[in-house]
Amino acid sequence: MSQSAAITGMGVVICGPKEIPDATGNALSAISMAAQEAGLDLREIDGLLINQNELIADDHLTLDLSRRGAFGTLKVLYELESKGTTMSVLLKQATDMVNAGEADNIVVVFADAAISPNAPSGAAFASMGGDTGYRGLERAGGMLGAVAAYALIAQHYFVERNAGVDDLFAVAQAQRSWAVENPLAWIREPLTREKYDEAPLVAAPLRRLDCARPVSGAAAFIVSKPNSSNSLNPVFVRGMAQRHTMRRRHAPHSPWRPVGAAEVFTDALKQARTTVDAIDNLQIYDAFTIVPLVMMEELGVVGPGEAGSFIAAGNTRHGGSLPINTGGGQISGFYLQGATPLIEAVTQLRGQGGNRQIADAGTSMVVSVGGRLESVNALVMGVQQ
Amino acid sequence: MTIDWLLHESAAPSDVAPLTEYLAGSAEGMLVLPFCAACKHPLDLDQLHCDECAHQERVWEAVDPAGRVTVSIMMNRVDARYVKQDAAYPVIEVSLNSGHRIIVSTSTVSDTPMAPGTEVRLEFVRVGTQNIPRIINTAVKG
Repeated sequence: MSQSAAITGMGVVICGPKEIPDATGNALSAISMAAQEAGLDLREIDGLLINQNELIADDHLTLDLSRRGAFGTLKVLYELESKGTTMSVLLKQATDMVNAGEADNIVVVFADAAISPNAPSGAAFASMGGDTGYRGLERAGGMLGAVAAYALIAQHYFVERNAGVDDLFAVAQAQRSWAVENPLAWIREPLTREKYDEAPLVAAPLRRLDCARPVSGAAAFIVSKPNSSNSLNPVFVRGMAQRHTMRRRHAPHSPWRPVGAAEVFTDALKQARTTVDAIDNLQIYDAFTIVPLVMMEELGVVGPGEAGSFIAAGNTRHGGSLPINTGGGQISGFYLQGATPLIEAVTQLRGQGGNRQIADAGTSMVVSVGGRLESVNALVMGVQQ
Repeated sequence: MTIDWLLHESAAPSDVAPLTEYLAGSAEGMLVLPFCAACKHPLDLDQLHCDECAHQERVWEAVDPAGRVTVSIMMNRVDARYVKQDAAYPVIEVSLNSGHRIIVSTSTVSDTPMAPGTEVRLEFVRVGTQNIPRIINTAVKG
């Protein structure tokens, strides 16, 4: 069997809070790091797929990135927007294009300029919405920013699953236990209940420690056919499935549940020709602590209302039966949108996790969500093609 | 029209589409919402095709401004650009009897959430140049 396309290089740039963000500059730095890992000269890159990101920042990547870098003649160049699932979609597309011979060395890149010395963490996201359409009406109802939207989802979950704040804390504490061993994580001290309860409420029941940590930075992946110049294990994209059901604001549609998550889970495994038993780590897009709770149940990993106790029992921690968000996730790690869980999956599959490395990690599943749990994507990645 | 206790004029929505009909109705003191012209299924404000029968025409009708609380939260981070208060305030999702869902706060000062299932009625308050629905409540201050 001929070698399939794989992730052969990865670069990550995370700015400090005092640095002036520069989306394009950070993206090019991340691309250079990824190309170096892949053993490529930048001029050998012939494909550039950009995660469109106009969520909050004026400073975002455009197709002009191709001009400002030192790439070769590009055979493919576009931006894509599929909310939080975009990076996973782009990685699958890049894999398919390289396998089809449309290009040889494709970069998939994301950059964000969410914070700066003059715009502290959270401030930019709090102003999301605008004055038109539904978001305009929601703002006139006093609902400001994404945290409030997910606080409502959390309340729905609490009511329908007889759950509560203890379940949110279980997620925050478990993920922090992973972040302790992640040099890229923004906060690396073990989390006690006392510290959690001291964190300010943003939109009850969500506290600051229930929310992702925005950062300015970039992530880039090289997708190419592995060769002898690759110094690290290639990581193969083995299967992907997705469902998109934009949230309707009327009956009988659910105001909070993601539609089709269980089918996404089984479809992705089927595409990868594997089973759930082979998944030895699960990386979930966790902009808020409520998301892993909801998604674990909707995927069918645990039963309804069982996620909190499953996590509190240590099952998702190091040595547990199903390690989840092994870099601390977006909650305790860093929020580079859909790139965050992908970075950790690649790190684990390459065996680069250091003290948080899962023994013999061979297959990861990355579950991304978009909007208000409206888009769900499962990507199966592995060290075997 | 009572001036809103909660939000500054800066939080008023724009009356451009898809809020034109909605805000025109509220200016007359009515909660006007869209339905499928064929099957009368409730539609989102910006929805052009019916998700129930795929019909492509809609009608705007005044509905009973009443329904039930599905869930509510407290907004603790107070954004001074939009909010007059310096304390947490409730944000409430209401499932209207018409089948539509909306996000509102209360018509008078409140610092408590509302329990799911609570039956509520809405009235309008003034935010900038727009009339905005709020849950009728007796003033609640802890």
